Amino acid sequence: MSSPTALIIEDDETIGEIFSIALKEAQYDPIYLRNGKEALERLSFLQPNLVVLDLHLPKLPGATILRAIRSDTRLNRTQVIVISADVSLAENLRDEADAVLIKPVGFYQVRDLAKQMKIDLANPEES
Amino acid sequence: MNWQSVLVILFLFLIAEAATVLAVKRICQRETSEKKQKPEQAKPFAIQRRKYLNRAVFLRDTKSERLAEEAISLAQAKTEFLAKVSHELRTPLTSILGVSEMLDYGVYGPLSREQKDAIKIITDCTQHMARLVTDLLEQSQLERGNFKLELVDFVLEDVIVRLRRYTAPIARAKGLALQFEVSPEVPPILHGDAQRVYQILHNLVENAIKYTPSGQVKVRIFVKDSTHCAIQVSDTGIGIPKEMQSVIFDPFLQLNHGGNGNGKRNGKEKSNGNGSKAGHDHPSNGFGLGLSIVKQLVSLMNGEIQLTSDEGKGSVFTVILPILIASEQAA
Repeated sequence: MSSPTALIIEDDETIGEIFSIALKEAQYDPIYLRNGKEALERLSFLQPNLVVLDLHLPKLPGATILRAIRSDTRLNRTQVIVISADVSLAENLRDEADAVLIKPVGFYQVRDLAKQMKIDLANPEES
Repeated sequence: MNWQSVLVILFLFLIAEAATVLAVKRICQRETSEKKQKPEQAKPFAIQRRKYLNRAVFLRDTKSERLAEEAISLAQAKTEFLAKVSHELRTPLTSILGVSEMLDYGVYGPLSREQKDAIKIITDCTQHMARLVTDLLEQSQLERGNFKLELVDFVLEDVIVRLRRYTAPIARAKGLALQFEVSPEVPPILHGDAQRVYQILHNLVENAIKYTPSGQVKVRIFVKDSTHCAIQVSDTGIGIPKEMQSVIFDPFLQLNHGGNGNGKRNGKEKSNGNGSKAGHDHPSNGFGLGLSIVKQLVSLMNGEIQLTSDEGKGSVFTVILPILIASEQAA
């Protein structure tokens, strides 16, 4: 059985790598993208189980991507974790995202949250 | 307005006052000296002095107002600067923390005991700094006079789910039981600032987990009266000494008490990303803002907070908030 797919959209390469490895450890198959426009193009044909989304992105802001995901019925089972250093912007998206983390976040935190979200998705009545 | 802003304004008032006094004093000295040298010019100069005094009073008033405005503006600029600095620090801190934890986890190969210890210091310090940045930002946001609560109907269960999601892994990593109990009489929909209610719960639970070496942390939510709900966070942790309980919510307070050398109840010190036990003591244990922020938020919501604690046995924090919807209660 193949691993669930996770799309990481993050412009900082080091952080992108950290999240990629954390999600691999959480048994996801990560795809890492650095800009918002490319992410939106990929989302037109990909159906990731999880999206890890930064907000301040080149070419297209993260909030636009989140709204695009939420308005696409094809992606209605896609979970989104917003991870940003912009506290006020991130807080404004709390209702639309499945989880919001404010940077700094660590490798373990991302790994554990991704694992927990997979459990929540599998057992919605327990969450 | 916080005490620092008040101090700044007082300081500026004092400067304005001192400048006026000096100016008047100089005029008086000039008058005396003129009187000695040219007695015939004494009268015109007295008129001039009165005019000057009136002007000085006027100038003092307008200057004070202007200085007060400047002080407020400076305080706002400070808050904005702090928010900007906090924001800019978060990205590099994420890299430091993430890479350190990956090293610790063995992503780049196995480490010796000494290397792991060294990495632990880096992750602990980074977490510590991250907490400082977060607390400072929250405090600065609270210090802004225009802080507004967003009162909406919210689903309590959503708050609990979110809280469980973020705190359960930390409690699990420490081997603690984390329990949630919502009394059946609590209506599913409450009314208040959901994000701030969550923040209160989060800070209290995080604090309880941090100072509980073994046993359990329990969250209870129950109806207090027709308009108030009680949120109670209890733990089997190290407790708070009696003499410290009256000051535990003060901002910028750090408490020390003996035992395991880890007794800073409201300091936001070491803790690594997966919440495992702290490994190294730091000379500083944060700004002591976690519980202070809770108290400020509770106060903004017109609620109250109570604490009972036995040293060595644990603590119980009870927050009472007016978040029940009247119509729900009538039912």
